[in-house]
Amino acid sequence: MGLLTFVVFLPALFGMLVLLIPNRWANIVKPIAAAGSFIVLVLSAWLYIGLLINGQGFGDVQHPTWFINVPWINATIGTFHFQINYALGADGLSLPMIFLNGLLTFLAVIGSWHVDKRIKFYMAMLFFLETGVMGVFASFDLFLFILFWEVELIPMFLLIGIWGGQRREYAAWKFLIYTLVGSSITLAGIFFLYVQTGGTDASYQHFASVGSQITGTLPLFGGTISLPILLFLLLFAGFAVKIPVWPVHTWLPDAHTEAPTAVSVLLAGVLLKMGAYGLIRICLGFVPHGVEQVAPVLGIFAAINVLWGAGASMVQKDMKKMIAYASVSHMGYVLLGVAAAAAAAAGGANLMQFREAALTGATLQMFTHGAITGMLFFAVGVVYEKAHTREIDIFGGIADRMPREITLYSMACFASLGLPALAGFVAEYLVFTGSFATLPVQTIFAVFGVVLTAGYLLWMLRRAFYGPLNMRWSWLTDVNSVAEFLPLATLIIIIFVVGVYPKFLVDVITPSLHQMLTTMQSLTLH
Amino acid sequence: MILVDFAWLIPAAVLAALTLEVLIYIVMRFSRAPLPIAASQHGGESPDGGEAPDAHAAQAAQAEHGNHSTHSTHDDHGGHGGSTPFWAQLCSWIGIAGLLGAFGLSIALLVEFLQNPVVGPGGTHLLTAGRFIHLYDWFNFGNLTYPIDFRVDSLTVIMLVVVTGVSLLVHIYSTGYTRGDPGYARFFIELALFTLSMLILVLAANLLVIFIGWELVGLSSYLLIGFWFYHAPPPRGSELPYPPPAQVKAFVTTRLGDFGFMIGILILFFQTGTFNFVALNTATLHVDKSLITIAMILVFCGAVGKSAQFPLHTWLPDAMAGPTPVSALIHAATMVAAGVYLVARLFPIYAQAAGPQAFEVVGYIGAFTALFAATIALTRYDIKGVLAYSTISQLGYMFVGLAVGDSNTLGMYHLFTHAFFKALLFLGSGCVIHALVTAQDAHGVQDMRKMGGLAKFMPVTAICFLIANLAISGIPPFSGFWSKDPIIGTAWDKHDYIIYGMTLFTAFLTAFYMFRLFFMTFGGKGGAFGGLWGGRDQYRGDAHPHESPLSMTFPLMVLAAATVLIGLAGFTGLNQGFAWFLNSGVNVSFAVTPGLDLLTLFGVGAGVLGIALAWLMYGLGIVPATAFTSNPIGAFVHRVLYNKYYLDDLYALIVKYIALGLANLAALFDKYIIDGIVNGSAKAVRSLGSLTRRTETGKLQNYGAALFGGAMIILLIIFFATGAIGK
Repeated sequence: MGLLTFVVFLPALFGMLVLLIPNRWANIVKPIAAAGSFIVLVLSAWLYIGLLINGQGFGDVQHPTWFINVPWINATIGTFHFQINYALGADGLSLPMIFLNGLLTFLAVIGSWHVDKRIKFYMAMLFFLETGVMGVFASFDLFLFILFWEVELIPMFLLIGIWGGQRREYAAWKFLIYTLVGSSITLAGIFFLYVQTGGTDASYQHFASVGSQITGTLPLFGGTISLPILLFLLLFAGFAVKIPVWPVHTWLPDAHTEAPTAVSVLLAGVLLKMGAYGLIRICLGFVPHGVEQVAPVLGIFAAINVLWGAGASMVQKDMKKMIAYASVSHMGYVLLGVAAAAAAAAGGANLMQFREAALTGATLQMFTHGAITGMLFFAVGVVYEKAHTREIDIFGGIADRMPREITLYSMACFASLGLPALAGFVAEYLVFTGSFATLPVQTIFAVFGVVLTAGYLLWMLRRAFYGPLNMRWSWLTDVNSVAEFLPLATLIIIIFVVGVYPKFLVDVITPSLHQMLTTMQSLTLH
Repeated sequence: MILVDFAWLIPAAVLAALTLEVLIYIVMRFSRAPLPIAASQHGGESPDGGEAPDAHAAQAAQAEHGNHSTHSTHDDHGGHGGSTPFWAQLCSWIGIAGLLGAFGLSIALLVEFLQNPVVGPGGTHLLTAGRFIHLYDWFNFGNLTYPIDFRVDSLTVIMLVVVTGVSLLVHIYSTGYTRGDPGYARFFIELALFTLSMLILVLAANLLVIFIGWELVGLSSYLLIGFWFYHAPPPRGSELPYPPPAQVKAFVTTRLGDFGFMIGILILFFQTGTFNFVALNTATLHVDKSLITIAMILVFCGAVGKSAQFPLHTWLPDAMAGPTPVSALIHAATMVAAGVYLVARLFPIYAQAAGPQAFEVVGYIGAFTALFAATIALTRYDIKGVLAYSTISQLGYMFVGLAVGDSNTLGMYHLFTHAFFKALLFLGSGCVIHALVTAQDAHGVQDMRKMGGLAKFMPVTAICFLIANLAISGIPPFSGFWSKDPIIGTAWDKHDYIIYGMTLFTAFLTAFYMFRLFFMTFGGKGGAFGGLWGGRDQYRGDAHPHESPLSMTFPLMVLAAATVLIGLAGFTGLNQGFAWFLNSGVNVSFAVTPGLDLLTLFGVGAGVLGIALAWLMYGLGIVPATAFTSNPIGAFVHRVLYNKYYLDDLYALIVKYIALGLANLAALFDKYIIDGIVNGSAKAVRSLGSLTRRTETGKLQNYGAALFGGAMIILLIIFFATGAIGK
């Protein structure tokens, strides 16, 4: 089936189409972009629904749906045989992300209706970004994966650097350098893994079946290092920057603060998830022993992420920077879930169900965090576009002028702080109940993040929106255009549905993870 | 097919009402150009800016002109700024209709449970078996399930009756209380949301669902405390709390307790693999006792937060910033009792699977809180402040009742009676506040020093208030006597003499501060019946007090009737029946049944003494009100109590300097250490020269070159370092 090819490359096609529109027809750029991104959204939704409907035997990495595999580059350099296949596929791990990317890109286009600066180029960049991200999630060949991973960098760099705020160049460069350094190491890891597993096949299926057999140690600077750990550390470097894991997280607040609203939405909504996806798919899937051996440490980093991000959020003066740090905090839950799924249990107990709960929770959190944080950034964007500032303390009582905004913004905040009946709670609850089994101490610290999250988000709402109206802002208008309303409304509906009936998502996710864990388990237990 | 299978209709009725209300609200408010929530509906802002006048202010202006009928006539649509549009009234009617249905069903359920039909195979009765309603599963992982289940048993039925009953009365009351408020419809939506959440909480069959309800009631509490978010802050030194910070404080403080609750759930779930209450009762028996003890103490942390026990009680007095009907429903009768309900629900685990330490913690925290809050209540001048601390104190009694009792009956019975008389007290204070709207106090006077002698102005309110006062003071035959006295008596019987002493002394304090409140508000020196029944001569304020409309007095009368009837039924053995009902139809003794014995005499005596002292000080004026504070030690004690033991200040310092201090450290570390390294190395690379300049041209191949170059260098290092290259 070539449907995935369409989902991946149609956005790039639309991007070029938009670029070709003559300048005197500039006013059709936005409608065309909206229509294009909507078509991609429908296609990605169709992938998802199609999987739900005829969902027999779908899902695990050995049996992806919509699979396509064509040999592409085949080169031999000396003894080194280098092969890239054009392999695309989808399973329960990637499908929710593909759908989320389609959705958020569409909403980002709608939410960019107010942008006028070089609009053609802007929309084209959004489309190229979408292609890059789709490719990352759809690739079933490790070299293809890293190729798409790098492709996504350029449009994001330009989107921040051209359409960003005052310190946009600094933020864009910081983003680029951080990511480049990280992904260089990951690329090295990929080569290393490729060589270690035979050096003939870079397909996911191949790594998934032989990767877990990698064992042994290597001498390193006089000492020794476990080969799986070394592989894990190399591969994880790029993902850690993307997630981001403390202490390589400081690019994120700057990038978010400077990026325009729609770009922040995509950055937090899907780009961070690429890191988490890589962690699960590649690190956990292909070098499970590596993850297992570092799992307790990874759990500690997860707890640091949660608490550090929450702490830094509390003292931010800028709404967007606060939400950026909140992302750092909430991605910690993903990290915790993955670490717990891999960690050895005390006394060698099996605890398969708890691992599955933790990993499903982590995957769910990737989706819910994308929707919730996307909504939060849209909500901040509404205030910023009107007031041209995001400084929390210079507002005051503006809920009086923005009843719709405060309603929707509060819903997003409550979803983010893990209120039941909204999506965030489902994922967090699942992560905690699962991860407590293998990493109890780390989990207890991470749970405390929930208290802090409530603190900083509600305190932010209280300072900016509640109290007597600061008359300086009496002219503020509410959410009143489709471009402002549609993204917020769409996301809150999704957040609510997932929060009340998460089965739609979980039924798709679980089979893939189950397979991954069973493979792992059969190896870990001896 | 029996009625209990349709128990889901109770939350469904409220959900339907809520959905309809929200739809109306969206269509009416959001279809037009957006309206500001508060300010400009009333003809703009006051010239000094900031102050947002609201309905009460508008009414106050009218009251100043001597037009008292604004409050008391029902069909006054005089077109002044505070009138309520039809669609908003429709919202309240829908809410009342939904609650009527839910209340009717709850009563029907109660009747069915009392009939106790045979339901299961083998002749099991409904009371023994309860009823399990499976809705759907969130997830299944092997044999781990996360089910959304309801369970109806006798404990649930009692809570259903209390929640729907009080909520219905508060709905009716609020049509009068919030009439003309610009947020009228929003108020009823949030009330319905609360009721729905509370119903989910009490119907929960497992720890997952109860946690969902638990957090959702926290949301409604947050929303309703902040209902008047646009009010100006109260003046410095005022006892009045301020809505915006109070709502955050309430949510975050209870969350702090939920942190413990969550860890407790995690331990129980990991050890037993189930959330289900019934399954947990047996499963926990096979787990290490000390672990379960720890888990249950952690679960109790959640109850400490939600039920405002020491040291997490500070949010509840601040929560009084919400409208008074909210204080009655959420912060007195139902939500704050959720902690008690939780412990009662998990009673078998506390009593059997956990060690005795678990209930010792519950008992001592409860007893200490009861005493501690009562001492603070002695010094309050804010009428709602007294009631708030009295609520904290009474909740402490309930925990003591659970901890010392042989079953959960003692605590639950006090929860049951307290719900009615405390709701009555709050609604009564609401009538007082509502009647005392002046130009200076646009939201109504709450300071008791500006009251006095109100009994003649509002006799119905005063009588109902007096009944509730007698009940909370433990005077027979009112309901509170039958529930509070056994708690104190059982503590003695179980040889918990410390708890006995604390609760007995608290009973004395309770009677004292409640009658201090009554005399200061309704009576005063020189009034009829020795100062009990005051009039114009005793009134110290400058408003035009008046009785409230029927919509507000009717709920008072119903609650007063309930307080009296439950009390009178005590003589026919109602509490014994309650014990039978709660214990699944097994006849258990109510531990200590009040009778003509020394224990009862001491309990009632403490109450009578308290009333007498209050009478002497505030009614007859024989003992001066400053009798205890005129000496230096008394003045010092009074200052400590008046400042709530400086706990709020201590917490504020902790948040400001420790929590935010650490947070600042994290942010500064990011900014100077991590970014310092990043920026420093970037500068170092840039100083290498030409390479970077070419990178900045933005050519794609340069990025690619950098990436692959970097990867190759790293690979070479690895191969070299590990010796892999030699393989």
